[in-house]
Amino acid sequence: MKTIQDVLDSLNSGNLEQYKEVMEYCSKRVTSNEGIPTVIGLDDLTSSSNEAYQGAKEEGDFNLVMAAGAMVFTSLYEELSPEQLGHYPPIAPAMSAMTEMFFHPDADGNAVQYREVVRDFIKE
Amino acid sequence: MNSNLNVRAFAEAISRDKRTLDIFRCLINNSYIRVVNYHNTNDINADRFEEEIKYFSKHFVPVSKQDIDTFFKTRKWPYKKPGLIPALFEGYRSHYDIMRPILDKYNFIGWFYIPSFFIDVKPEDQLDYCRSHRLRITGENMYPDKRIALSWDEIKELSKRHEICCHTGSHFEIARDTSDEDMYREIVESKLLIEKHIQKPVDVFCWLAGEEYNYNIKAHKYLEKAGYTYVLGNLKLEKIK
Amino acid sequence: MQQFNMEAFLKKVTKDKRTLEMFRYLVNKSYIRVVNYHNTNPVDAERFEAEINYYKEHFVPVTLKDIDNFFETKVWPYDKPGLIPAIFEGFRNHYDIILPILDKYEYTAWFYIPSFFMDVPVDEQIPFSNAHELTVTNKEMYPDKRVAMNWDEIRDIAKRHEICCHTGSHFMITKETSDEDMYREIVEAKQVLDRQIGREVEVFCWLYGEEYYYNTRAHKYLKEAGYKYVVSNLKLERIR
Repeated sequence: MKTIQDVLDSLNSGNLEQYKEVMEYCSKRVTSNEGIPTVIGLDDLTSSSNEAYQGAKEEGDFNLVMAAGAMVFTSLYEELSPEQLGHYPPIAPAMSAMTEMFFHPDADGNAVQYREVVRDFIKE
Repeated sequence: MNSNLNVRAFAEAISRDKRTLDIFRCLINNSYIRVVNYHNTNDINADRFEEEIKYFSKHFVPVSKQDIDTFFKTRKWPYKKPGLIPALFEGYRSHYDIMRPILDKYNFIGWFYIPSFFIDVKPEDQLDYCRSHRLRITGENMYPDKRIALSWDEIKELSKRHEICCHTGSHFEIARDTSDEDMYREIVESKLLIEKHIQKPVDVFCWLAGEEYNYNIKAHKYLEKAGYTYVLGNLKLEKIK
Repeated sequence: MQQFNMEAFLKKVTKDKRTLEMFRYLVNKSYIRVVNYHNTNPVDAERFEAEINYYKEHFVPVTLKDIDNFFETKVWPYDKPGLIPAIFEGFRNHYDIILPILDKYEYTAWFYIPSFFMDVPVDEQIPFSNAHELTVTNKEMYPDKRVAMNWDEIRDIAKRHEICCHTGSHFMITKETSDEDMYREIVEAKQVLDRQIGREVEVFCWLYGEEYYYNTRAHKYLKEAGYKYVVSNLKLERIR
């Protein structure tokens, strides 16, 4: 998936399986021993200016893909019970799953999944 | 439109918790940074860590606190590649022995989140301390001398090329009803202790269980008194001064 | 017709954090309708009557108690949505013109009072309003020059309507406002109202409505004063 339209199209085609598969994978990670990727927001509480930021050139519009992906994962984690979520709001596991699935764009703009980075070390 | 996307249910799901749309905003506005969180960095996983850091060094740029200062100030990320922060939590000794050489080999900057009172616990008591303070150590048998926390010398050495951040004093969960005394100790004294040893200001505070700054209004005066610039929760890094 | 540009749209709606926040309130059904009034001059009385009459037909009036319950139960218990006529600045024409209309239709309004205004000597009220951004549009309405309500009028209103504090001297509280000014405009302003109407005022309303979290320095004064709600131009926030 390259663009926000791709993410929306995947929703329209009802293809949520790949998102659910990533959630399943995330639930099996050993968080105390492994590197766990996420994206955190930067919020300037000292300023009420509404100017947007400029990201890295190589990022392109990948932030929009991540934004849409985070919302899709939130809507899926939202279906879990509070017990399953622990004390976290759905956006917390959603950010983690989103970053796992959309870690960064490769040279062609396609999303690289974090699993690819450590593929030689994944135990089935 | 295909019926598989129920727009109404989708809108309701993403609107329930105020933090969701707040993060959506940060992503669209380009005000975000990638982080990879590490806790234990045991020797048996060293190859995997090396693979990761090597990958990061190829596709991302390292991020110093100064880069974050500049990004907030100019609102412009000055590098071609996006930034990525390897975040190392809990002040484990394995961070120095296993992760540090890898980070240094690839010139990558780690951000070390230290619960500072852990460092002063006697080596023979450290394992018990971990168990009673929710420090989920998995490399407890790596060291025959029983020291599993970083030493101050090691932290000082790390501080030369990496960022040292305060993760409370005793890995303490600060709640809305935490007493003033506990807040002072875990927010202010914990910071002073690190600064005494590394002889540099500590500007970043990280909560446990990552609530956001405005969730805990009572803590504001201690964060202000301590003089932190940033507060890290699990969703956001917030600039508070 | 121009084609809808999703990316441009998203960038616009995410620029200001308050935009998506309002989206969330709307989707979550946690909102209330408000119609803001400032001067209520005789020349507009018929129009006001038509409005209140319309509200009566299509909405239910909203008391502070309804808001308490809504926050508590998260359920709006009436068939019709609520609407609050919010009446700002404590002008005398509120008592003479809009109050009889509200009372005729038994419709609850919320009066936002800058409480020091009432104690300004009558012949100084117009200069005071000029100096404190209290825009009086019909200065000739009262030959005796009293443009603010007096305490008897406010006490009468308080029997059937909600009285809220709108600072003491219609003062814009910023992050840089001194401690002394904050205390006077937030705490003392409420004490004056409480004493005069004989009950606790629970709602504070800023000028230019920043939200609660924007001004962390004001928190201790809002708490000390004992307010329960803070109103800004986008939100009514429960703070205790």
